[in-house]
Amino acid sequence: MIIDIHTHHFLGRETLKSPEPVEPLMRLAKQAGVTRMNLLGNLFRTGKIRPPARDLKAINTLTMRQVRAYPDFFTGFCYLNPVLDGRFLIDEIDRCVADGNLTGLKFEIDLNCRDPRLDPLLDRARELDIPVLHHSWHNIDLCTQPYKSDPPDIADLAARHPQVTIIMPHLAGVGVRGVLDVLPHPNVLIDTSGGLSVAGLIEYAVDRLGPGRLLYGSDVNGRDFSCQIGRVLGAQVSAKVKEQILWRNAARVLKLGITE
Amino acid sequence: MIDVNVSLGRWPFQRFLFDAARPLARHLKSCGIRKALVASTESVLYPDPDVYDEACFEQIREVPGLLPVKTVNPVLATWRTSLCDFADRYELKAIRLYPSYHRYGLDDPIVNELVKTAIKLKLPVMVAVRVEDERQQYSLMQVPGVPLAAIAKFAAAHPRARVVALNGYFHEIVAVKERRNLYFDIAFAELTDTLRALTEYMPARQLLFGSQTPFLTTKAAAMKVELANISQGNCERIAEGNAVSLFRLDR
Ligand SMILES: [Zn+2]
Repeated sequence: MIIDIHTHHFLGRETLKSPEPVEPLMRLAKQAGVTRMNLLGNLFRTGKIRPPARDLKAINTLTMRQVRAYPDFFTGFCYLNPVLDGRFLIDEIDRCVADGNLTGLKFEIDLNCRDPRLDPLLDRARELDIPVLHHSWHNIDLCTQPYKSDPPDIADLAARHPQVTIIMPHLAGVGVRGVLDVLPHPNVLIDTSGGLSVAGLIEYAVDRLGPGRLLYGSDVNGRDFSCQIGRVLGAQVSAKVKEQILWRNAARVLKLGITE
Repeated sequence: MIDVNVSLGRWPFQRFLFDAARPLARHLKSCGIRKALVASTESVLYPDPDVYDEACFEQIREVPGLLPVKTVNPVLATWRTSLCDFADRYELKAIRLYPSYHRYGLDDPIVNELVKTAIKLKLPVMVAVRVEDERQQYSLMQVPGVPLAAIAKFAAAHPRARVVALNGYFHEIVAVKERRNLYFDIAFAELTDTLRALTEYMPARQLLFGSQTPFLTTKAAAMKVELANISQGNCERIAEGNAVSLFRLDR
């Protein structure tokens, strides 16, 4: 069993109305042994960060449609741009999660997560008891950026919302420093997606965080299931730990009720 | 499989899990790799590559399946005598260049001399586009990648040489138009369904299996081949066949 916590079904701008079929990507996933994919939305469909409300809704509507079409294969998260109107964002969470079929929130690089505009959205996640996946990467200039969130920013968000499960993606992007940044926050998990399959990082993260805080993710499209799964299968950790990373931890976070 | 992109040794910015020849060979074998072209990791940064090359080649001499690749820095006064001496003492399979770490251009006249020597010694010339992803480099040691266009120009200027670009990204590799005597390894290349996508841009005869072990996870590269949606013939070419003929290896 493999659950891919971090996937996108990217489409061109003009194809959103008649979207490219998701089935070829599903086929590739299944060929690689993936049993479930968590869709985070077709981000950047407008080619820009900070999409307006209309585009955001279209992205989430498509994710909901894909989950509805293959409920045994897809789960999905509701993508939010936190600079939009706060009332609209709460309504969008309710449309997609409370009244829809999405089971988590996704934030990208629209606003640094130290910004208080995220707080009511995380509060709503706590009320709905859903996880949040927030983009992160260790940027070389090491200072807080207005849009992008580095691991210390994620740690700040995690400290403000200790009861919300936060998935920090891109293990290779956040690196050793990123692992240390979130170490004191047990509500933060890291996904293995992003960047190259840098050797030794999964081993390091398991050693520091324990095996319960890592999730397999590929960040397809653009990434390849084969090597993204290979970086987990090739890690020098026990078969039991690989199983936790490949699906057990995700099944817990997504509340799939799968134990075997 | 035959892995054309393996290193042995230590690197200051990463903790390797395999830094001795025997465990390395065992690990490669467990990933389905029966032969590997191995260069010394320390020779990238230490000023005289001969020192660590020798230590590396003495280690792998005892281990079947690990084949030596000499790191050459043409900026050094001694590169020619050193290369000829190593070619006498070891069964070198290729040379590796790191133009961005050793700070010269591939169009530098000194490189012409080096290529002539490599042709005479029948050694393919490997050019490391990069060693690490630029976004993950140590913040005080930012080393830019070598533009693939410069490597393509270099290969075109030396039609009798066989040139291998290591660690190029997918988008860089597929942008190269002129590539008659130019080959690419797949260690850094990734796109959804990587090998099918690559072979849509170029013939499989120009692609080589490389994992960049121990920097990257060996199994990640191996699975690109294991799950490739390409013909069995092309798969065999990339996994082994191209390397056998390019580096004159025993089957
Ligand atoms: Zn992503």
